[in-house]
Order: sequence, then structure tokens, then C-alpha cells
Amino acid sequence: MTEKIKINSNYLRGDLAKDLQNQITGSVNHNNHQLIKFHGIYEQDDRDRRKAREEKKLERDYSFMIRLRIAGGRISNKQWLAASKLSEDYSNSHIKITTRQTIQLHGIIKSKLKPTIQYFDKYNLDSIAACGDVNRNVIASIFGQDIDEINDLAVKISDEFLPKSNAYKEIWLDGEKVENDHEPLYGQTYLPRKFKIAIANPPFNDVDVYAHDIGLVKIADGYNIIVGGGMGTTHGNDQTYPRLGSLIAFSKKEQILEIIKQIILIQRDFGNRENRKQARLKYTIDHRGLDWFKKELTKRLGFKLDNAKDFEFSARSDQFGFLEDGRFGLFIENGRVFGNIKEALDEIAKKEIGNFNFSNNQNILITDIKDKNALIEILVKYNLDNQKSEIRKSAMACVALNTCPLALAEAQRYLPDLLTKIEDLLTKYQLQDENISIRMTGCPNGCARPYLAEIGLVGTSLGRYNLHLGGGSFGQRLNRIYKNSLNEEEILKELDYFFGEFAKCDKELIFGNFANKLIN
Amino acid sequence: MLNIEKRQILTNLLEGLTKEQIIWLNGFVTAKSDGEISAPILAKKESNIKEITILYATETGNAKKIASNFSNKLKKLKIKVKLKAIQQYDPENLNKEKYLILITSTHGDGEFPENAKEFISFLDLNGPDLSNINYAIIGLGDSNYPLFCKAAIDLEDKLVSLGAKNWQKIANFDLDFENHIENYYQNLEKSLFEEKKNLTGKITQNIILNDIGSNKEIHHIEIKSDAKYQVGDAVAIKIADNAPRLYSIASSPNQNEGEIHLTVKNVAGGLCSSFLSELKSDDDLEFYIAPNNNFRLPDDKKDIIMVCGGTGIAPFRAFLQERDFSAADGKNWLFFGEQYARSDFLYQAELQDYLESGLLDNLDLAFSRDQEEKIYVQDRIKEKSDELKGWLEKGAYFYICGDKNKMAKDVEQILIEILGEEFLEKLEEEGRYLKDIY
Repeated sequence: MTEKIKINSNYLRGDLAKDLQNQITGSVNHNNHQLIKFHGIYEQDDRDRRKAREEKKLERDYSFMIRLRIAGGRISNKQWLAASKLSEDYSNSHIKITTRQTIQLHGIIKSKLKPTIQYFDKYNLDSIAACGDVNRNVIASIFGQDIDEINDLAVKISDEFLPKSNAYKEIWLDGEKVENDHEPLYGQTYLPRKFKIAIANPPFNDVDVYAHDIGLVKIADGYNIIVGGGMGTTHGNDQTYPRLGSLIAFSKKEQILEIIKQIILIQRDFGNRENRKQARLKYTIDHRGLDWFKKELTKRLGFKLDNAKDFEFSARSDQFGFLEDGRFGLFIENGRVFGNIKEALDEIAKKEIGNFNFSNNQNILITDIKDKNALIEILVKYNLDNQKSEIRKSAMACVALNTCPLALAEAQRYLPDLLTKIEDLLTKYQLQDENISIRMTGCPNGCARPYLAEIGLVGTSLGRYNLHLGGGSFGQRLNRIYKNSLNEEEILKELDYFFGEFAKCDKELIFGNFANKLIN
Repeated sequence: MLNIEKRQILTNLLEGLTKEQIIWLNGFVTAKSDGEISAPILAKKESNIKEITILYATETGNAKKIASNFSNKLKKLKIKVKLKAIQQYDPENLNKEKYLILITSTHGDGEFPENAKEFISFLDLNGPDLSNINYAIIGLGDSNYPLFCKAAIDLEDKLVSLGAKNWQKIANFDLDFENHIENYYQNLEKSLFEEKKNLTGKITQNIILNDIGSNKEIHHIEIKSDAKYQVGDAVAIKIADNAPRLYSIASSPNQNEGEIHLTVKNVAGGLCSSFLSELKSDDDLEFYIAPNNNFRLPDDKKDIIMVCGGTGIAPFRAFLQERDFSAADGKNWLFFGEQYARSDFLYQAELQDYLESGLLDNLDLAFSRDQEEKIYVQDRIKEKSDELKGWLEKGAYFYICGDKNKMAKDVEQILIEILGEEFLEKLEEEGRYLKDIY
């Protein structure tokens, strides 16, 4: 179905331009609902308001989420202010930092989409391919040595594998119409499914490098290459599963773009186009075998791949406060920027005290700090002291209700409250300083990478979650379902037991490893 | 239903009876009639209208004859009637009138009779506020002349432009007026008692149609009632001593048996609208049906174009329901204007369904505040001028409902631009240009 829509879309145009003018509905038509994703936009509706709207004889409260393409997650203070202004004018005044190092605005109604994208464009921000069956936002580690180099690479990869269609310019920016458009790399069917690339910088694995279609690991003068990672699953469909990427080779810097290109092309040519639930690269590789994949890649490259080099990860969480290199890590719960945090960031931006780098754990690094004292003054003024428990600082949650159409349960609106109760349990066993990763999603699609958490909570229905335990603390091992569809009381009961047992153990042990053994 | 004499006897009989006696009598009458007659008899004993002024402008004496005849009959109904030749009437008193019958002949080349000219020029020069007046106009003329009853038609235009409200549909009689005038009077008399018949309905629903972010508070109110009405009619609600307020009915009795729907904007300081807005389910509401014979659906085969803003959509929702019910062949085109699509698109889901089912052929929308430059219904009409003209040339009816001073005027202006004055006048003469404006 989606394949047909792509083919008939004239390179992502569809009749979106006309549809935007249609005032009879605040939604877009069925085909455009799919196509608009390629422009970085998801159609949603406020699920909290469905019943009330029906009573008012109004259609659902349709609005749109715009996700920006910010490869590497760096944004200037002027760009931040542009996003902030738009969130006030046209959105719900919140800015959401995603788990993939960008930001998105929610609740933009149809008539404001075009003005929003045009305003972003003035600040050199776009949303091309932030969603859809293409290479999406490229993420890069923000800690360690050589971060400028890997950031440059993220930007370069993003630009290189961007759809080349002129549709975005025509539809949103009143650009001149191009006849006979074409798409040199992707062709008119683009990729079978979304495609994600991440760059890790050992010992830091803040990007969860095993969770993406392609993971690059910076080592010396090149990169290890990991392929076929992916999180998304579907409840009740055991053909779907999360998969850790497979480490296949090492590449010198100079060859990395060519290798990525050929991996994308293999997925373009061999990915399943019949069944979207089997279409990610992870399934392509598992169906044909990793050896086949390596052979096909070598064949296409025309040169032999080097063996992967040794590396080790020892951190995945963000760092907070002033770092040794002068940057400042600011904790933002579940990436939701609003209220005092937003005011603070706006003031930092307005006074041009620094620029921002979004993290892969939904936090912000303030970079290029010009005046440390002025920054501290603002942080104090808005009461931003990062004084949160370790578990809260490394926790992640997706958007879920009320806007995500896929959500089966709450996530970002609920996790903070649940954490308060979990903190009490930890305190009970004097484990309050443990950095245990906990991640919650409202559905099994895995936006917050819950299958790589030490404690994963995956929504099954309102108020109920599958409890996953035993994940590696640096993203190197998947967790497993421990119990299905627990409510809050049951979740807390289980955690109470695990924390109690954990407290009796050797203090050097990591909770994820402990739980992994215990549930065996 | 009863003639005047019978009614008088009944009134006399009932006078001075105790409540118990009346209840007994009620049962007695019910038994007599096998249960066909029920309560409202009592309600019919006297006219709701207590005072009527009749003015006539005559050349030959015919208008005076009719006026005197009406006056005599109405006085027998215990109505205080002021009867005056128009030249003897002080137009400064117009602001005190509530019900006004005007009878005028047409003189010469479509002009007013000589003795009416002073009255007319008073209206033209002073432009008094006539919003207190409910008028009934009778024109007398000779259809052998080209501008038949032009004076009466012009008089109505002037009154409407000064805010007067239609009470009885204008009646223009030819030389054989004597054959028709009794019938006219009977209808008028009937209306005096019909309107009097206060009905009580029960509120079953009162919701605000607007959503978060709106500047408006427009209520959809559903009333359970057996009242007989037609689409196009209004519900009149009288609170205390104030003049009754009319609300166009938003439902078709055929599709909503035993229900009346209203679309009411809660206006700051509006006594009646705030009263209605506060009604809750199970509350009783007293009202009567105010027929509006000037705003009816045409023959099922005819196409209709409906233009409205805000609560002006009410009668059109009734029209659409009616046409849906009767599976009318005629095409339906709706223009609707409001401020914001997201929060003010009244009856959006229903209209979407009508589009899907094909009942609505065209739906053109103007949400003035969804973009930088404001867009109104008249702009949408202009955009579609060719198609619109096509519909009208093929016999479509054109309806406007909504704000008299803003929307209706602007729409008319655009129509003149598109169609030319002559075509618009032709539409009006053919009864294809209909307004329910307030």
C-alpha cells in the first residue's frame, strides 16, 4: 500500500499542496498521511479530546508534529529562538527533544504547517526526511575526543543520503516547479522502511549504536561498522523482534560514505516491500544471513573489508553540569522543554551565552559558552540544578499519549510519577545512587529504545506494561520480557523484589547484569 | 379553530371557575371527544397581541375600506386598534409601535400615493430605528401596469432596512382584491392565536459547539416538543416583558420527530441568549413557533445555494436534514464562514458526512482568522462566481442567513458584481433570493 503511494506520488508530491488548502478537514487524505512523513511531519490527533470533539459535532482534533533534521544535534542560539517562537505561535508551546538528537513541535494545525516550515527555512532548519522510508536524522555521540569530526561526518551522511526530490521546496517554500524530477539514489519507491544511522565514540555509547540500521564506532583513523540493529516490534507478532546490530568490519574514513551507500542500496534492493513489519534491514539480514550480506556488500564495493577493531564501551548516560571541556550538561526530564526550563534556554539564547547540542538521551549540552557566570546566574534564577536521582537522569520515555497515534499506554506523562515511587524503593534498599537505566514506551515500536534498558517498560494497554529486565547497561545486550502486562502495583512489587535481592549482592555488580542472571 | 362567538361563550363559562372545576371540565371535554382534544383550549382564549396600528395610503378609497374592515374585526377580539390615514399619522410615534399593518396602493409609475409621500420621506431622511416593529404590508395594484404594487415592495425594503421584522408575508392584490382579502384576514387572525399558543418543551441537550481557542460560545440546544413546525421557521422566546427573540430552527421535524434544535450564540449581555445558554437537561422551556413563510425550501427538484456565517447555519442544517429526508433531487451548495476552522466549524462532522453521502454538492468555507489576510464568505463566492452564476441561470434558489449589517450586505454587493443588478432583481422577483437576516 505504502509502496503504491510512493510510486504514484511523483517523488513525494502527491496532492499535498492542494490538500493543505482544503479547509473541510484539519487532516490530510489517506495518501498524503503517508507522504507527509517524508517531509518530516506526522499527522496526529489529540486522543484525550476525541470524545469531547465528537459531542461538539466536530471532527477529531487533528494536528501535526514537525520533526527537524538536525544531524549531530547542534543548533545555534538563533535557531533555538526560532523554534521557541514557533512553538509559542503555532504549537502547544512545548519543544520535545527526541531520543535521536533532534527536536519536534507538536500540535501544529494544518493551516500553520506552511508558515512554520517557511519560518524554519529562514533559519536554515528543515524537516526533510526526518520521518518516512528514507535515511533519517543521523545521530552522533556528543562525548569524548574527536566529537567535531564525528559531528561533521553525521552532517555529511545526512546531506549525502537526503532525498533529492524538489517536492519539499515546491510544497512548503513556494519553490519553482521542477518537471521530470528524479531520485538518483532511492528511485521512486525510496527505501522499504525507515533507515537509521548512528555514530558512537568509545568509550561513550550515548547513541545506543547497536540499535540502528547502521552503527559506526569511531576508532583511530576510521570506523567499525555495525549493521542490522533495530528496536521495533509488534505485540502478538513473533516474527518481529528487537535486534542488536552485528559488527561486520572496519573502514578507513575515506571509504565510509561509499560503504554506507552500498548498505543502503542493498536494503533498497533486497528489503521486504510486501510486509512493512518485515522490512527493516535487520530482517533483510536475518532472512538471507549475515554471510550473504557481507558477500553482497563486498561484491558491490569491489574491495575487501578489513576486520573490525577492538573497542570497549563503559558509559551510555549523559554527563551533567560543567564538563572538563567547558560545556554544560542540563538535565531535561524526558526531553520535554517547557515552563521554566524553556524560559531559561530562551534567555541563554537571547543573551547569546552559548549554543545547544541535543543529546541522544533527551537532554541538552550548552556549548560555546561565552560567559560562565552569566550562565550560572540564569541556571540559579530558574532553579535548574540537575539535582535529580541517577535513575531519573538516565531515564527515557517516548511521547505516547495523548498525541502519538500508535500509543497503547502513557509514557512521558507518566514515567516521572512512577520514578518517584521507584526512587522510594531504591532508597529503601540504599540503592539511591545506582545509575540504572529505565526506559518506557507507550507501544512496542521502541522509540525510547526500551529493549536496551536495564528496566524496560513497554505499554500494552492503558496502565499496563510488559516488564523487561536484564539489559546491558552500555547498550551491548538486549533485555528480555520478564512479565507481561503489569499494572503499577505489580511493577513496583516486582522491582521491590529485584532491588531487595540486588542490595544483598556485591556492590561492584551492575543491576542489568544481576537481573539477567537472576531471571535465567 | 373555534369561531369568535363560540370562543367568547367558552371564555365566559370558564370565568370564575375553581381549579378543580376546570380540571373536571377538562376531563369531561376529553371524554366527549374520545380523547382527541387536549389542553391547549385554554390557551386560545385571547390574542397575544394587544395593540395593532393600521395605516393606509389610498388614492381610490380601497385601502381605507380594507383598513376599516380589519379594524372592526380586530376590535371585536379585544385588541386596541389605532386606525389612521398615513398622512394623519405622526411618524415620530413609530418607535412606540409593535405591530403595524400598512395598506398602500401604487400610484402612477410605481410610485407611492401622494398622501404617503411625507411619511416615506420621513423614513428616508430620519432613518428611525424600527427594530421594535413587526409589519404586515398589503399592496393594492393593477397588474396591467408594469410595476405592479411597486410601492408596497419598496415600502417593505425601507422597513426592513430600518430593522423592522416581518410579521405577515407581504400580500400584493390585483383589482380582484375583494376575493382574497377575507382569506388574508383569516390567516392574520389565526396567527394572533397561534402565536399566543405558548408551548412547553423539555431540554434534552445543551452543548457548546465551539472548542478550545474559540472567541465564541455557540450552543446547540435540543428541545423535546411535539410542536408542529416547518424547516425555515423560528422559535420565539419571550422573557419577562421583553420583545420575543427569534431563533431559526436548526432541525427538520421529519428527521427529528418530536425535537427542535436551536443554534444559539451566547452574546455578552444578551438576556435571552444567556438564559438559553444556561439551560440544563430536563429544564422546561416556554416558547412558540414563529412561522417564516419567506424562507422555505423550494420544490425538491430545484438547486439551492445557502450562504451563512456563524449561527446563520441553523436553518440550513434544517434544510439539509429535510432534503436528506425527502431524498430531494435538487443540488445543495453551502457557503459557511467563521473565525477558526479548528474550533468554530459548526456541525463539521455532519457536513463532512453530507459531502460524503453526496447530499452536499459543494461546501465552501471561509475561516477569517486561519491566515494572515482575512477571508470571508463573499470572497469564496467571488472565487466561485462562474459556477455560481451557472447554478442561478439554471434556476437555483439563493439563501442568506446571518448578520444583516455585515455579511448580508457584503454578499449582496458581491452578487451585484457577479450577476449585475438586473439579474439580482429578477431573482428577487421570482422569489429565488431569500434572506433570513438579523
